[in-house]
Amino acid sequence: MAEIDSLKQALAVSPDNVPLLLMLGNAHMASFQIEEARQVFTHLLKVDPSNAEAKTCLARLLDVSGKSSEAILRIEQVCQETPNYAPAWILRATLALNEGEATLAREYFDKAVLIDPKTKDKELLKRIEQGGGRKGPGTRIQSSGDQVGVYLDPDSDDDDIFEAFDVDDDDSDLELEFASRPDTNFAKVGGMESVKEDIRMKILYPMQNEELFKAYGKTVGGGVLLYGPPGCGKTLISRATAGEIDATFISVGLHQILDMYIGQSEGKLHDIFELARRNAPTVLFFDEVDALAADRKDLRGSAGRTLVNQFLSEMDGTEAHNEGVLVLGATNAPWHLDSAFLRPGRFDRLIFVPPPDEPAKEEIIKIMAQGKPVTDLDMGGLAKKMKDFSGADIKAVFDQAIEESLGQAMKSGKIVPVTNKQLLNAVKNVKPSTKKWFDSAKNYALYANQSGFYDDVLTYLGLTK
Amino acid sequence: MSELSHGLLLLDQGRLEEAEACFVGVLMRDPDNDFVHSRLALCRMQQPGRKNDALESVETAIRLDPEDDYYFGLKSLILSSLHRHREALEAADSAIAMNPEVSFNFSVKASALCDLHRWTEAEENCRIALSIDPDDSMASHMLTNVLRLQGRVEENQAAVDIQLSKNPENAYAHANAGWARLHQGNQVKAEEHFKEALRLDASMDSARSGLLESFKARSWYYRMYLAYCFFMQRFTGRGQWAIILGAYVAYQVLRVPLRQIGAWAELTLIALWITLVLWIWLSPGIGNFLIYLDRTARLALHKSEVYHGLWIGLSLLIGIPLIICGVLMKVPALTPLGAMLIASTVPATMTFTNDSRKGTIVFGSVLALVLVMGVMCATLRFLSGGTSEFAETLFVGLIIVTALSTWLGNVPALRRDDSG
Repeated sequence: MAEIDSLKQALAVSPDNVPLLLMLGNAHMASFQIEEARQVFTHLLKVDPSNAEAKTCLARLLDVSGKSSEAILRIEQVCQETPNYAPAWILRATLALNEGEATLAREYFDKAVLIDPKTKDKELLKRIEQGGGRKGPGTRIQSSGDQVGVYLDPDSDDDDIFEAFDVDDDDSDLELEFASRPDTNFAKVGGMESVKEDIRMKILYPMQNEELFKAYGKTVGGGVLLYGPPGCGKTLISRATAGEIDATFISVGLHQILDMYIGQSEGKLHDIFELARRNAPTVLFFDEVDALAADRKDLRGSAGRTLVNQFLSEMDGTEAHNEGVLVLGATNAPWHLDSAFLRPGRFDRLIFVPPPDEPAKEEIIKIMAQGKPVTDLDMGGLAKKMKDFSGADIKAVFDQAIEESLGQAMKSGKIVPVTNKQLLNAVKNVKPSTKKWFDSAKNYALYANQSGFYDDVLTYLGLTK
Repeated sequence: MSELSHGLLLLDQGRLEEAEACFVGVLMRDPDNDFVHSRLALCRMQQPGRKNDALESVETAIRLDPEDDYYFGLKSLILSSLHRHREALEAADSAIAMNPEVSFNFSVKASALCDLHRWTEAEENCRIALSIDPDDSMASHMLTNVLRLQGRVEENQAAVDIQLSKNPENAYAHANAGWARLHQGNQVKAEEHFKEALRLDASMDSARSGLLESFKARSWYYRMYLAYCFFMQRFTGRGQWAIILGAYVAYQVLRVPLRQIGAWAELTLIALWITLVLWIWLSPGIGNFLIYLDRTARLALHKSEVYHGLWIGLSLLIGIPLIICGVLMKVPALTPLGAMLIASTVPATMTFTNDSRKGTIVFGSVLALVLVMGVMCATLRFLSGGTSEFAETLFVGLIIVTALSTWLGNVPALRRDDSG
């Protein structure tokens, strides 16, 4: 209720503020105040007659009030007027399902997910399937030139979707969200010159001089482990690496591998490696690799041990050759990796990704300021004040400053720009999150660095034994 | 591996914030899962300033399943970490009453008894735990510590040897071996064990502090100080107070006959007493200062320990020559400045490395007071040419404040972790 009251106060100052009206309407809906919500959305439509969200909410309110036929008519109209608004299709799917039209519901659901994969509601999908909703085909989102991006529908039974990667039907349940030749490269990543140089020496030159390597009996590929504090660009630099070598980039998140059923995770991991082998040259990127490659001592009797063994076996290429497959792993906690992964042929090259340097910070600041009302921005000055800040910390600075301006804007009903001074004040309030990481890393670099893995950390911290 | 098992893995790895996020995620879907609440409690217990949250989580777990003895054991551990030792003991007793077949419950009781310095009973409970489960590592590690803290050096060494032979790759076993060796005065072997413990688990703070102690113990005076600490650890809080008060009474009683022998005899006793008090107070700081001078060893120091060492070391190095110069050259302003620096080392010891926030504030204020009094006294002496009476009052006040702070330092509430 406090939220509703404060929104009403803000609206008293700025009665036609569309975002505020939407927030108030949703707040009423969340409190089951149907009539109040309806009034707010109706008023909103007077201010902004084309607002799809308000129209969708009104349709939902009609359904909640028991007027489902009217709700269906309304939502059909919204879908016609704004066919790219995914939540409207989701509501249309829900209403169709309630009417017993599971096949139609499935069609609407698929449309919504095609427009915005984030709207995918697994509960709704389950209900649709239980209602007999036919599985719709997975849909190619884009395919042009050397850039290929696909949404891989886990339930798709259409082979065509995997054509781009020559993937079997069975591979469709990998739920890979992203598999593409990325359009980013080193030129598009600001700063981080020392990391780029490290990557050139350890990854790019070997791949570009494949024949030379072969002459010395060495194969191209293998594994490289990127480690460093969280939020410092490990994923970004991995994508840029793939962009530099013009290879297929497959990004694998933890949730795409881990499965609650014993044996399933191992199968998924094998399928992902197979996919990479078939599409070589491929950069196979594992985020949070420490969870998949955890020290077996930490796993004790758990089923995770078999996953570690599977990962080791895939990296060794025991069943198939990994020629042209570069495995990139990113982790915040390299010390939790099973030591077997750090042996030759596996993650035998380590690259330390430190917090962004000043040019990189300026680049991040530039990106953060894009599309926002920021005045007198002094990127260099700000970057200098952000010692030890990660990308995530810089985002926190912008969030704080923007919240302050937004508060003033809600009271005045006008856009209040974010000033450099506000950003500088926010810098003082945000503590660099990398410090904690370095506290841990320092201990490992000092006491568990027999193989010299963490020498870069010692150098970065200015510590020499 | 589900989100829950991922959380459990992160918890085992000591990645507490990430583990907490996993558990909270599971609880959002399944808010009545008592097991997850208990793991959340375990996670929060190990994070600074989150112990009260941990207690809340374990109490939720108990509310959801009041029949599970493990939750009472966990509650006991959390209460111990909150220094609520009597309640911790009660919770451990509840766990045992519910299930006397589980070694963990006896280990937890032993832990609560250790906090109360009731070593004999703690040992008894460790042995019961080990009779139920000979592989109970918590009981085994605690038993070695209990034996060491009772001064039973040979038994302690035997227990450590068994631990190491069972699991030579265990960081705790090496840390225990390090402390055992340190207790025996063998700092070289202790250093080896602590380094091995840190190689196996670089985040282990007891091994890091053990390594620091073994570095400091390279000097004979610090080995004596450690022997004093190990001796005092055998006693309960009350026992320690009795020893301190007894020594003070003995000192005051001895002064009377010595005064009759001659002023020099009494002054010698006073000087010895002050040296003893300062030795006890300043040894850790001097140790930190000496470590700081070693380029390699200094890397093991935390920032607070560096500040502590530098303050003590530099204050003594500057303060003593200032007093000597002041007396010999008859410059009245120098003596109070030197005295101020030396006196400041006492509250400074409890300011930089104090786990108690309250204690840090109290001793930090005392430190500021000593500095203000010292500077004022020196200024007045300088301006008056050494004739200001108020300057003399301030000087006496400075000595009294310092002496009082040594007594204040014995108040447990001003020394222990109160982050909650």
